[in-house]
Amino acid sequence: MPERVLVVEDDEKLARQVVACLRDGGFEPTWVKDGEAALAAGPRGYALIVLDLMLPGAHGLDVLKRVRHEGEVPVLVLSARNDTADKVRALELGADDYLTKPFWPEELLARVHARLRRPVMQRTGPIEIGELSLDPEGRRVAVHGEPVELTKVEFDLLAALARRPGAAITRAWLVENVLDPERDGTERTLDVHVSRLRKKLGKAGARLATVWGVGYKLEATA
Amino acid sequence: MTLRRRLVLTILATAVPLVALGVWLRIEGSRRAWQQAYREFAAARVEQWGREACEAAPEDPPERAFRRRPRPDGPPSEEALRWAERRRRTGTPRIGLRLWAFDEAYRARDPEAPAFPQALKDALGRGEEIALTDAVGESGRPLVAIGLRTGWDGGPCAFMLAMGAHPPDPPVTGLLTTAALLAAAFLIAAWITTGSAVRRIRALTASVRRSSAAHYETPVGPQGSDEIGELAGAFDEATAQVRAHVARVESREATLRSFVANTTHDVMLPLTVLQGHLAALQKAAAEGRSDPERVQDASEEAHYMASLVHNLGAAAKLEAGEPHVERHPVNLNEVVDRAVARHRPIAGPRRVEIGSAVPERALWAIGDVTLVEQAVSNLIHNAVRYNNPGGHVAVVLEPADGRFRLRVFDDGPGVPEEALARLTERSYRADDARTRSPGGQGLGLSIAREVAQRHGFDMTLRRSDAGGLEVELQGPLQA
Repeated sequence: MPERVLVVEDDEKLARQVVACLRDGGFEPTWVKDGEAALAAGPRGYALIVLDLMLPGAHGLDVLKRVRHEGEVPVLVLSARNDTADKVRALELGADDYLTKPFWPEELLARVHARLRRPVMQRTGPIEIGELSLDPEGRRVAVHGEPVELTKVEFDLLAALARRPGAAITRAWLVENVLDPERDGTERTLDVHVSRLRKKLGKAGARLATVWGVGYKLEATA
Repeated sequence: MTLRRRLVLTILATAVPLVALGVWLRIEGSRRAWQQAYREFAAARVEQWGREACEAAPEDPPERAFRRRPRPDGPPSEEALRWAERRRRTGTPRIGLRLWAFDEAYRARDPEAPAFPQALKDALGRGEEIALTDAVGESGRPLVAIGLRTGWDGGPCAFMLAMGAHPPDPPVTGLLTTAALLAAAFLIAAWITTGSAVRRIRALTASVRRSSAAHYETPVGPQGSDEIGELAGAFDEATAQVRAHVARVESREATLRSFVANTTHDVMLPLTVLQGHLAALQKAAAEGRSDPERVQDASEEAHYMASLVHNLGAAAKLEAGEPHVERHPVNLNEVVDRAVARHRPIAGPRRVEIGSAVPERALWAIGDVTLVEQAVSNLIHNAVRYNNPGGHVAVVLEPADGRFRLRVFDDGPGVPEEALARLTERSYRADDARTRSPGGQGLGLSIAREVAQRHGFDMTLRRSDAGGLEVELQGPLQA
């Protein structure tokens, strides 16, 4: 079921674009023109609110204050002003993030997704990413339910990446935190471990992406 | 009220009471003088009569006091000459007094003697030797009455009363005329002497008007070394300040005008290019063609324009100085995420891949989030813009020895060593930056550098391992 997003935007053209962008991104957007309508729409029924600060009538910040008063719905603020004080004030009043105009539709979707991303599961709980499942406690890994045998380093490596799916982790961090410093703890060793891990994971190994200049990441989406 | 009229009124207001006082003093002085003469004369007459003669015949005083000539052919007596001299000196007319003798109960032997005036009785009763008062004679003639205590106690001559004609009043009108003439002379003198001052003040007024008509370009000029000269000098000083202020305002206005003009020009350029692209796309669409390359160009142009406007805003903020650069906790993870997300849409079609890594726990610094984000954005923009298709850009934020380290590097053509040094050395100047491609390496990097300086961050440029440019920002974490 698509998540509902409330768009509070006074400019019709921009509103139409934002709504179209959100719909393309798989959300169910609702557009209201001003703060009064936003409050009337019952902000608590939405997964996220996109709020333009430059609203007529009630200033966007007032609307933000009242929405915050209503509940904990994440608020993404749109700001035309390149004004730090405004942003800081918005964050102080409880906005979760902001986006400065002009922005690309992809930027908007990225920010919305970032806000809706479920908090990363506990370190000990089992992790499911597509066909890949990982149980940190039992130190077990399975692809399509088929157990995969991994070495200690390989498992630690995969667990470190799986803890932050979609986020790139630097080679330096992995070398320092995953490899055994007593033994050959270099970036080259790391790369060797990664390529072995890819092979062992089979089809799921494609998720293990190299990020140029940075390190590795585990793709969260297919 | 003009200066002169004010002066005349002031002189009158001062002179009239002064003249009145003078006249009064004069009248009072002459009154005292003749009263004194009368007293002394009366005393002399009593002395002349003598106790024995008086007590022998108290009803018969000597008829006339001092004959000028005791004998028709003899010389005037010494006493007579002395009195004549005294009268002349004090301006007292010839004194003629009649004497009457009274006993201790103020009874006269002479049945024709007038009553002893009560005022004199009172004065003598208080122990005075001699007293004087005004009296009125038959037919209303003004008289002077003088009472004396002779000291011849017990007899019919214990007191004496002398009466004579009241001397005429001094000529008050003459005095007043003199005073009025004097005042008039003063006024005329004042009128004449203020004339030159008034003329100079008028000249000064005219000069000031001329100067103000000429927008204070011409000074009033020296006007002498007195107070009027000082006034002129003070006015010239004020004028100089007004001129300096006007010059400041005008130059600020000119700067603003040129900033607006330049900005308009800078924004119009990419906007024109964008319009061109859109027109071509419209045409292509009408012909049923698609032109992905042009779409990409148009997108880049729009992106460039946004970055340009943001950079101009940042430049204005930096030029305005401290109060406009805020200090707040800045989540650097989010800054990187936002700046990277902003450039993905133009990097993708260019086939430039952006990769980024931030630590799991967010890093916070203190600063102006708009400026920091703009600086990071500029670094990424440069890396994407000056890269080759199929190139890579990496943005890595990590903690390093209790500080943050943010690296933006690419595998593009990079910058030659010597140009690198120039990029590092160039100091930030808005005018300088304007003439280069704004949003490109000129304005973008210089703004990043200035932002780093303002925040106490270190910014270093070097060749990346992959051969492109690597820019590193390092700075303190929020305490």
